[in-house]
Amino acid sequence: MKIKRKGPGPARGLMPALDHLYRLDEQLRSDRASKLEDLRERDHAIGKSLSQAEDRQCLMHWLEEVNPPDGNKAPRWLSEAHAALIMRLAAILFGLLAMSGFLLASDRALVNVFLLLALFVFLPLATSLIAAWAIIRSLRGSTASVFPLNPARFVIRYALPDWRYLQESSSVVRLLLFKYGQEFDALFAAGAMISFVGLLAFNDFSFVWGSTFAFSDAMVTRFAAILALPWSALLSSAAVSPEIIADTRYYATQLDLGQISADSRRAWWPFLFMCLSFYSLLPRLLLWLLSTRAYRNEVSRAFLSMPGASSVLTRMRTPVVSTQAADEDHVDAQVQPVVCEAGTVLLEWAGAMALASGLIEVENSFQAGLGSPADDLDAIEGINRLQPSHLLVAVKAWEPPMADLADVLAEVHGVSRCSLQLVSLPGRELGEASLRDWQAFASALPFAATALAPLGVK
Amino acid sequence: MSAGKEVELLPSFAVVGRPNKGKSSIVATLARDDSVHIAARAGSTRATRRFPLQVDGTTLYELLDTPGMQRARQMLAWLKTDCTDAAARPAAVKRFLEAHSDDDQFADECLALRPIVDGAGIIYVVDGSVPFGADYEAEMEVLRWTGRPSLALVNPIGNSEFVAQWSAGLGQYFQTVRVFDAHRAEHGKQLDLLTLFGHLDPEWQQPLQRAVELLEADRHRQHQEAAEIIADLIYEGLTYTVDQAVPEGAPETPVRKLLFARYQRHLIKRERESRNRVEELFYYRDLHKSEQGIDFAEEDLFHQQNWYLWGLNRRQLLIAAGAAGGVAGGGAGVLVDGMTGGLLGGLATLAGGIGGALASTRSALKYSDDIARWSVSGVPTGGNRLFYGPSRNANFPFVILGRAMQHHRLISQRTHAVRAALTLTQPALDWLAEKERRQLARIFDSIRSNKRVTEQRAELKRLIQAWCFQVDAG
Repeated sequence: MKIKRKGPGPARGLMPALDHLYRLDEQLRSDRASKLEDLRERDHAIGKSLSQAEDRQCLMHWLEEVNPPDGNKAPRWLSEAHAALIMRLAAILFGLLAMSGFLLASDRALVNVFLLLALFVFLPLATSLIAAWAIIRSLRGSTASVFPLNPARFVIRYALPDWRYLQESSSVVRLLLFKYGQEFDALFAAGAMISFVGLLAFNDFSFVWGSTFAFSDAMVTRFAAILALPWSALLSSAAVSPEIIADTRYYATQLDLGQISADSRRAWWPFLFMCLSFYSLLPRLLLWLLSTRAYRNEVSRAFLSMPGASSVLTRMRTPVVSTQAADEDHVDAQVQPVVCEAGTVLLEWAGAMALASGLIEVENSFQAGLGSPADDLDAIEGINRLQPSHLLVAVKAWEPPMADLADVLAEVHGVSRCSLQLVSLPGRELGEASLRDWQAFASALPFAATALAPLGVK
Repeated sequence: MSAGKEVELLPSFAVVGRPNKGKSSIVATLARDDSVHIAARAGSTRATRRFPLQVDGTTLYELLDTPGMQRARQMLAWLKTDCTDAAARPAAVKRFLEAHSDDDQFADECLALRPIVDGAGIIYVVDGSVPFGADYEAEMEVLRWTGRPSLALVNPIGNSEFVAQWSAGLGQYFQTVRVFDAHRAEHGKQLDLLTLFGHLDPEWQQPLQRAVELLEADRHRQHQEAAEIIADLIYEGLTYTVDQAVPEGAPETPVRKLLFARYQRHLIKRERESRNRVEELFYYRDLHKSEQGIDFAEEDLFHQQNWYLWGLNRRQLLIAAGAAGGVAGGGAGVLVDGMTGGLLGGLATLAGGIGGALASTRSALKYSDDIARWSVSGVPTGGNRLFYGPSRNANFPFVILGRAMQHHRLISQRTHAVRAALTLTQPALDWLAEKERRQLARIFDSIRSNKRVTEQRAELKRLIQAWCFQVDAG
């Protein structure tokens, strides 16, 4: 079997990717049609130099040897990396635009803290929790559904080497989707934060809070304190004091903001920035790291657990042992007369020569064993009249010797030599048991000399 | 070391004896070569065939299948007139071969004795089902004259009525006498015999021991690969689906027939491919050409009346399905109990277990007549798409497993000398323990519902592999 390319050696440290899974699947499927003997020789020849290598390295090296990437394949107009770059830039841009739109929506530069928290902190946090649950489910082997409008699907389209659905890579694709999803969401959050800080530098926003629900100042103070808990000890300036909360309470009917001090109106931003960082960006970054790591592990696992991969590894590590014959059995391809002897008569029993026509050339031949007993008598009389020195009796080797034939041969007189010609089925062999049966039968025949000879048909 | 010396050191064993005494069977079994046969044409067996054991191209030993000796008495008479000194007997045999190298009369004897004179050990084969006769003594004596290490094998072809008689007779001529049934010798016994060959000459011991180790490793590989092939087949049987678009207004019935036929054809083809692969793994090249192959009716896979033979019977199936569902339901209940901090007192676990068991049993009964499920989905451009599969029948994967395991057992336990048909005599999965049936039912359930598929496939393969290895453990 041909090895497509000679590689430089074991692919140390090289991690499999989605493309490797597809190529491995393609190769293992095509190997199904190859002879095992060839596969054993090919795989062991590749595996000889990799005795100390681990499974992943061995399989990667094997794949590069037998099915290297197709260099002649025309590249797609958009690669996975390019698609990902487009989506990354889009995520940042959407983050910038979303926050800008939100902050600049009010012509009085009023920013409702509750609304900002709901849209840019709690909503991303909730989606992060859902994503975490989906990733964990995927890691545990369940099929988690993915939102049809997930922007990561765009990149996946270009990440798949071809349009085949590969069952073995479905978990890998799912995790790749999660990986890109988390990355884009993190970039969206980063874009929103950049926009938040950037617009603050040039605008005088008034951060106030208000709700149709009757929240008391104390309740909001407690709520803000809980939110700031993770950083309040280290970064007290990023926490809001009860005075600021009381000072920045806003009612929809309130037209004059003059009673709220300028310092109080801007005092919320460090707290909001930390909320954005801690509850929006950080979870996404953690999920991105988790999904990236999980993706790498899953690719590696799927690569090694591909159906047929462990057989390849076994073949690579097991010496090629051969015990079979060094040469083929000799069988003549051409049908040539095996017996061509003057003065010989052939008795064909039960149509045995139908499968061996041309193998015996004699002047006189008779048939028996098929028609009525009267036909058998005709054949006996014919043989007795000729009294040949040698009588050939062609019989079906795969049938047991019958007393019927013995009875007919017992009636033959004046023949000293008889040979039973055992005709085999085409392409089949003569069993030892059959041969013994016929030997026993021949030894009981009433001739001075009896022989037994297989008459082969290819 | 010179090349000539290397050749000399290579252990080789000439299998000699009269025609049709089982020499070929012994060679076929030890060489794992089913191409060895009694040639159908007179004269085509008048040559020595070599069966080298090669590891990565290096030969460790060689078996030589020789033509049967038929004129031993005449040869012995010649030898006796040529030599009177016991020490010169091997040289006399050599002289005989030189003198008769072109003599058609002694062609078989020359072919049989040539490798022995060149240094091969003697494996003398007799048939233990026929009585010992004094007429055999001439050939034994000729072999003794060669002075080479020897071993006699009594091959009881059919019955072992005269084995004791042969053992006594052969003991007078050969260093070692063993009974070896070439048709029934399991793998371990074949390796024992090879080890014994190594004891004929101290120099042969090491290569033969290495050969035995390599053959054991090769056997291990065969079972490993067979397990993977079977596991893949079952997975395909559990997940395979066919579909076809049905234009709006077109009748569904012919499409259903077509899809069912396509589904059947595909799985039958896959089963056949898997079986061929397993046969190839165990070095069967001519199995389907031999007089009687394996009697595995392919349509049986979809012949549900025969499923009791291959898969589980109704009782076994309901127990396995119920237990698998019970464990799954109980698992969910444990989760609820855990979340409520044990306030429900294990009630959720109990209810989940019972509910799961009932649902699974109901499902096993409901789909017992259907192999796979039908489903229809709308096509945006009009019409429908009809799907057949995947299989929801609880017994179907057991049937595939039963057929595949039975085939594996028959193939791996069969020696390459056997030509008889293999027939199913007992239900295929009767050897499965209750616990294993439940475990399998759980694995099949998980694969069907697409849960932890990679792990379940690996677990399935591990189980099948263990059962494959059990074949050799007896």
